[in-house]
Amino acid sequence: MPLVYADTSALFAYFHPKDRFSDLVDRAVVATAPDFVYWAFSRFEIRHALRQANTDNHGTTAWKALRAAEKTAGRLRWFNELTADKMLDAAEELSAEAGAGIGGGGMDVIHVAAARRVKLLSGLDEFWTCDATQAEFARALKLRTRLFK
Amino acid sequence: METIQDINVKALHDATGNFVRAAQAGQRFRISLNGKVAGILLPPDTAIDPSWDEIMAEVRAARKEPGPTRPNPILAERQQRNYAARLR
Repeated sequence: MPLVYADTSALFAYFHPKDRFSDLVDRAVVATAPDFVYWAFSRFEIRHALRQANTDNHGTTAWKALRAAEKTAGRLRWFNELTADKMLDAAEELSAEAGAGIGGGGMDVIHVAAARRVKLLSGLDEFWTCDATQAEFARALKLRTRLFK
Repeated sequence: METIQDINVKALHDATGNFVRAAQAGQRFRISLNGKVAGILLPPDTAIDPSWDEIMAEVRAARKEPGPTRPNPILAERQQRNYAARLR
């Protein structure tokens, strides 16, 4: 199974049935059957976004699907190596390295830093995002990137 | 697939390496503690997770329902943050 780092824009689109990118991300999952990298920051960000969206049936469906995926060992693959303190340090290093070339905000850099770390640790097949700026940044760091647009 | 073999915790404790190697080779074990099943030891290639198809069945059904799509809130949040940064 390919290992994919989906940033929270892509994860949200996958789980929420009425997100504008939902169909695109789902088709990519059907085609490639990936496991997604999951760690403390992505868990916090996707849960937070889905809690806020849990105001109707579609939001509830999305929340239940996320919780079911979290109970698996592989579909959302937890990476113990990605700890918050280490990834903040890695993001700080990446920010210093890239300087003004980064188009995104601080929290977006954390995802790319974490994806880069996974690539070094165990190999990463792709980085997925719905954010053109994030995709540009990831590609500049030689991550194989898929942009949903 | 081989049948599952029942063992107790004491047996597992006395020969952990043997049981793990047997599991690695394909044997499955049901472990009991005080006469009750307490866990399962499985080969590493055992499929224990449901597929995305199973996990996402309800989401996919909901996606087919008529109705408009919504903006991605993560992108919206990022755009707001970047807009604030540009104003500085």
